[in-house]
Amino acid sequence: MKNRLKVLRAERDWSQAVLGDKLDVSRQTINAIETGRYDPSLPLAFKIARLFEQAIENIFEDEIQ
Amino acid sequence: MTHKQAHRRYMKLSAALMVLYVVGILGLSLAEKHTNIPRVALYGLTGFPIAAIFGWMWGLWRYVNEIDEFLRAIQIKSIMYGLTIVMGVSTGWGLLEFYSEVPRLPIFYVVPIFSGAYGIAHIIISRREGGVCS
Repeated sequence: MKNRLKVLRAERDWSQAVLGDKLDVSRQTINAIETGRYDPSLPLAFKIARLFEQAIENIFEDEIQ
Repeated sequence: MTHKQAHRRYMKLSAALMVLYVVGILGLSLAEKHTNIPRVALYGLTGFPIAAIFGWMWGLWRYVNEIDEFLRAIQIKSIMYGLTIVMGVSTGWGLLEFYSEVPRLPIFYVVPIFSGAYGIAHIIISRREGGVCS
């Protein structure tokens, strides 16, 4: 699943570690999501969406479409 | 609890229990060879490595519950690889013992085989998927 996490993070000038702290996950997890190696669970996706004040579908793109 | 705190706590517990396990095993071996300790006391001494194994699995369970979902997925995959290897090796060797002349593999080796396979799998999966190595 593609996502805009890296762009959103860069816009706020946050490091992966800072974003991880805000979401209560590890830096490795942020890196895995950004590089598309890991798709977050629905609760974590909602948490990300709430943090960036955006709808989930504005951050994550379903590649099936 | 953050991932780093959980990791530190797990590593400390694992190290302490590994010492208990190794000392317990060596102590049993030395006690049997070089002392006249009663058999029943030797059976009692086996409680130390057994307690270390139960403690390690409890610590691993707690660690897996404390870390985030991505790191948990890596841990679960590593544990599955470890179990697969230990079941494959023990079943395969057991069949060879039935039907050929291979030496007997003591069931004691289940834990070392699992630990080795789990550890190697964890390093490989962590490197491949970008998680931390623990």
